Amino acid sequence: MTKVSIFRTVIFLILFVSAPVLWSNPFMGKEDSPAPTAPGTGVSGGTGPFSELQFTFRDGAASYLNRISGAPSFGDIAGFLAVCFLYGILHGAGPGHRKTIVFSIFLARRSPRWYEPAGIGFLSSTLHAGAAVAVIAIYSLIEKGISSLSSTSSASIYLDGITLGVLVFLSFVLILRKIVEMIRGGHSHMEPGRKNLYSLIIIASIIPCPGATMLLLLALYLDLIFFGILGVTAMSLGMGVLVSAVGYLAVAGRTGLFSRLKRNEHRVQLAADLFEFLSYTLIFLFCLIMAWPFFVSIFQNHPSV
Amino acid sequence: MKKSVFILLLILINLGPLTAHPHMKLIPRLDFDFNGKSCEGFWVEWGFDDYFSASIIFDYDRDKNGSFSEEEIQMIHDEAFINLKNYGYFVYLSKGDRKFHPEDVTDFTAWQENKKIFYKFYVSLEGLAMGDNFRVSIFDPSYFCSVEYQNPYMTFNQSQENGPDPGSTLSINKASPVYYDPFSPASDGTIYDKWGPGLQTAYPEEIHIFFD
Repeated sequence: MTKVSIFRTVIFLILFVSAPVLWSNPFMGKEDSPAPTAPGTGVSGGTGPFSELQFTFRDGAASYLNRISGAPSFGDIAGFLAVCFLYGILHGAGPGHRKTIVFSIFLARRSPRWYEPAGIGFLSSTLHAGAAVAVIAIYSLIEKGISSLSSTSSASIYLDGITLGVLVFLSFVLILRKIVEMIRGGHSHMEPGRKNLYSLIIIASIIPCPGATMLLLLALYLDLIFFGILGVTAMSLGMGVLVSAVGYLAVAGRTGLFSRLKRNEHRVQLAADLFEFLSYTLIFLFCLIMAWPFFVSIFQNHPSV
Repeated sequence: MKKSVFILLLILINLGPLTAHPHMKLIPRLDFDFNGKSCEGFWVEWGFDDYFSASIIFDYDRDKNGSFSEEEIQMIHDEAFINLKNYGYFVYLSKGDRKFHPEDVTDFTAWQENKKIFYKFYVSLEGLAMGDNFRVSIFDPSYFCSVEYQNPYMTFNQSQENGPDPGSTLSINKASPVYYDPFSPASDGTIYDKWGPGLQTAYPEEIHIFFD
């Protein structure tokens, strides 16, 4: 492994830590058990014209969905998809949405093929939005199967809990892989392979997109789940365009900066391995601590906020 | 050295994800109760966007009849409202240099109109000596909610016969910033009088109530 691992890990940690911010809805929770405040709320990026424009497209998508629930026309459906696509671009330009990790991957890629930034950008946005579809589907199944849960839960609890649970599992796998690699003394002196890059993208992108989740919840309520999925697909394409553009930007700007760093590769080899191992361990412990109350409450059949 | 600089650059590039941005729109209107020049309290009415509305209706309109029963309203109160107590109900009161959240609110209710939901609750000002000149703002320090006031943003009731009408303005008061700790736990409702390390500053729109 190279120092690229350090950069990937740093970025992964930052992205992970910022992810729960999206789901800390202050309305949800009980008087004696307040909703957890997500770490790293940070400064506000939420005011101003950019945010307002996002709300405009988001509200536009809701209006079209409401019209489609009446007597849908081709224009309504086309308008809905166009608005979702534009909302996806704007939403993707906001905080999160894996731009940084894609940017970093293509800082690390020595000679990517011309289509790779687009491939990884769309893979990331598809997974990010697809995770929302999957989690909503799971949530709906739970709601139908165990109706008593619905009175004491909200979608956000499950979204947070499931995402954290998946990350606990994945970080554990990464720790095991790293230990095996270090025991075998298998340092890779090559740049990270495509398989590793795609794995990293998959890990980082499975956190459900909050915008897509809200769109789907609205569609679900209107009994328009098919159009909800169509809208999320259009939104995902919009986010993919933006994330891919970031990838191409990194490819264009990578060569000079990264080639200098490469000169130190051998000297940082051991440090990179140890840092990567410790980072994965930190991620694992952090996720486990965060997810623990959720899983305890699941096993007790009454998840609490 | 170069590595450190590069990592630092990457961290700086990654500061974007650490910024919070709203995912929900809160649309408030306040209805003040006056007895002469004394404000006894006010009703806070919140409208919500399609998305939060759909989520609440989906979760709590159990019989799907388009309205909330008393039991459903109680569930909304207990599961999708009362946690705001930990945020001072998003209500900031100020009188001169004194700023505070209401300790409690009463008479919570919720209803739906055209697939949109509304919350309403009462903030009593009894014993708070707000006088005839004070300010109220609605602000979510977690930035989960964007606040956009209804038009009109306030109404009032005057219980005193021939009592005076209050004046009001809605504007950002640069002289009255809100300081908040973005990393504090949800149960921390501290109101900071002045800026300190780690605190963020916001300038929410304020409703200024006064009498000529």
